[in-house]
Amino acid sequence: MNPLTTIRALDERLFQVIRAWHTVGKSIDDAVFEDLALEICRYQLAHNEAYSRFAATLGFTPELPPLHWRAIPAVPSSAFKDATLATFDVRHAELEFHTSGTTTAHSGKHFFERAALYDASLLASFDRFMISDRPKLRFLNLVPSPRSATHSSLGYMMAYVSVLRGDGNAGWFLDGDSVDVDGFAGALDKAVAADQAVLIAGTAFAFVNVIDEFARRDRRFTLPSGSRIMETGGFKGRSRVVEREDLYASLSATFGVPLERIVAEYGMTELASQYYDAPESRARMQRVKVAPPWLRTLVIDERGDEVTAGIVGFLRHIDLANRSSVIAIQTEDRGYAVDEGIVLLGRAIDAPLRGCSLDAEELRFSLDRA
Amino acid sequence: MTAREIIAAIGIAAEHWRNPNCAARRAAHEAIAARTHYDNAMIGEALDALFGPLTEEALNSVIVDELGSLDILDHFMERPSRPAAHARGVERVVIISSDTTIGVAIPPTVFALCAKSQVTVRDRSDDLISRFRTTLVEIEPRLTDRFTTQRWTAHDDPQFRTSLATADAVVAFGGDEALGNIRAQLAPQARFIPYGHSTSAAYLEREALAHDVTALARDLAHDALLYDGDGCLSLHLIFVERGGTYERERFLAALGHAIRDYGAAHPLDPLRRDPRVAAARDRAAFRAALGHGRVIADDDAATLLIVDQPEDEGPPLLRRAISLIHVDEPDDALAYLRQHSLPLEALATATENPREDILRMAIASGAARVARCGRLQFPPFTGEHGGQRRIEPFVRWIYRA
Repeated sequence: MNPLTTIRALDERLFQVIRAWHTVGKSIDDAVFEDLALEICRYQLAHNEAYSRFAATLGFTPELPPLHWRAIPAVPSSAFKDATLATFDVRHAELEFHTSGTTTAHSGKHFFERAALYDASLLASFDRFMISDRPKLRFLNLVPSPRSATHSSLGYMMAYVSVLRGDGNAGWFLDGDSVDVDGFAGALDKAVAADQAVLIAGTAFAFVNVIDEFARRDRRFTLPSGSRIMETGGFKGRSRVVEREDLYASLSATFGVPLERIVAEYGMTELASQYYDAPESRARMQRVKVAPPWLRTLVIDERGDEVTAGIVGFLRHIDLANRSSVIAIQTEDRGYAVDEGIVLLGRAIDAPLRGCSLDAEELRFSLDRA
Repeated sequence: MTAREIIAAIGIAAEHWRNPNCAARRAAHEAIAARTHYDNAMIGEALDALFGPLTEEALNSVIVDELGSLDILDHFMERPSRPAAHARGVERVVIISSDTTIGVAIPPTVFALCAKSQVTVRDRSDDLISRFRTTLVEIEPRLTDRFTTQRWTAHDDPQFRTSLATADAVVAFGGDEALGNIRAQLAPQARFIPYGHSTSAAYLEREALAHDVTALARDLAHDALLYDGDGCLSLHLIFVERGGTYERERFLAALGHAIRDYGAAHPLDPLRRDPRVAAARDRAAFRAALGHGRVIADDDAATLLIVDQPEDEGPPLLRRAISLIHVDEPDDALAYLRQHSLPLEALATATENPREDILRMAIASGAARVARCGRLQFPPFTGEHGGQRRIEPFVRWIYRA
């Protein structure tokens, strides 16, 4: 089979999986996941040069591919900074996203051969996990606008769902690190006056800023019924970090949105698919992340071996929608598996300089809770 | 009490602690092991290094060098070409022990005592300072009220805040934020002797790499892995000069073996394992697969050596993690240190007498010490720590004229 035929056939199978789950909630069994994962892996070993070279050091080649999806060689998420990881000529990429990057000065680039696959994946998860009740929402975005941050995967995602699922009056209130608090407050007032439910999407960092500012102004809102908040992106090394429980309590109090309507999305530029808080865990202190059927996660130890449920380790994602780059991504995020999904603990952040340190500092940087 | 009497008592107490069978030392050893999970041999080495050089003679020589005489701590002394003066200890000194380094509070404590200050030490849960205090006051009961220890609890402990607010001098170890918080609680006139975070590096001149490198590799492994890489004297970065007769493969093989051997002889306690080392290893392994640099690590990432990581990436400042970077000259190393804002505590060199340009680089880097490889973790007691003199910070000068 020539590569083009292979690609079309693979993509069609992926689209079928995505559509089936998106429209009627039909999942896939282990055999289907395994079959698709191994086929895509073989394709990537054959057509992604950097990945192929890496996999060869682990003993995998197109001729000797892994035999089980759990054995698929995973590239570290930082690999997108060090190499072009694509199965195609990236000059023809339909989407290109850049990582924010803290480890090195330069950012990583993730190229997607087909926007339709990325779009289908993100929309299916968003619909089922974020707006399964299908309300018509006004999207008020505290994430980078795709106009100013042209390579932000988060900005792209929110623009996409704002257009397809919004009421046509979406607003963008984040420019770099700066939040347009007046504009955002005005938009909230208008929505309240019109009894229009809203979806506020924002990074934890942006939320902290607006909560602080609204507290200073002594402003609170009671958003229309059906309104919800999507929190994403963590703090990414910003100066003020607050605990998630505190942040959500403040969000609920500031916007009059029940806690169970505040949902964390966990995604990364290196993946085409996203995790969300499981609906049944949203009223609990400990939230569990769930993913669409084409995204699975292994929890592994320092040796790269999978650990049993409940044991903390690194999260390794196998995202079939990463068809045109690498499906297996080794993250530096820590978490553990439970029956329903995974519990995300946070990232093993880069080590700051240490000499003879004080106790308080030890506590401070143990985990950057996402 | 005269300064001489205090010094003599400290010398005798330290002599007791030099004996590995000293009951107080044995108890401290066990408590340190329980707190830090360091390998037993490492703790023994640390205690030897701490109390071995702590002699009456060493205290005498430092004080005489810094103040001009011992008696000047007791009364006015005539000085050549200057007015007679008395170096009187400040009233109250607070010393905050470090979390990571064993006994780093001992030297400032003994010098503050020699200055006849009232000394309060915030001790760790291993009670090392407290145990040494017990030995000392048994020998010299008159020090009982001058030397107190408190267990470390929290920064916002009211008693601790009061100690800080009334202190005339405070010694603390930590990062900028922690040190800033402590400084903010001091009286405006109080002296603050901060030891900020820093790390140590080695610069290996090409001439030294022309011969047998086995011993050098062993020394580097020791400098890097003792105390699991904790503390400002632990080696995290090795600059190696290209050129000459340097044989890269031979040297890297020797270093890899030395690290593995050290790791096998002093296994890392599983409780001290840092998952970030595995993450750093994986990042480096991917780059190495593409032909950029190399990574030498064991399967469970207990030790890690990254060779030639990208210049825009800082070294992994993690337990038992080392970065080796090839350079052409000392200025390259200096540029790297500056690019990553890495303050150096010490620079290790392969020879006793490094080249002038290497010394210039060490000075420009801000390092407080230059040492031969293998000696990095054993700073002489008589040397200045962190660029600070030993007793001078604890005295105020009164002159008569």
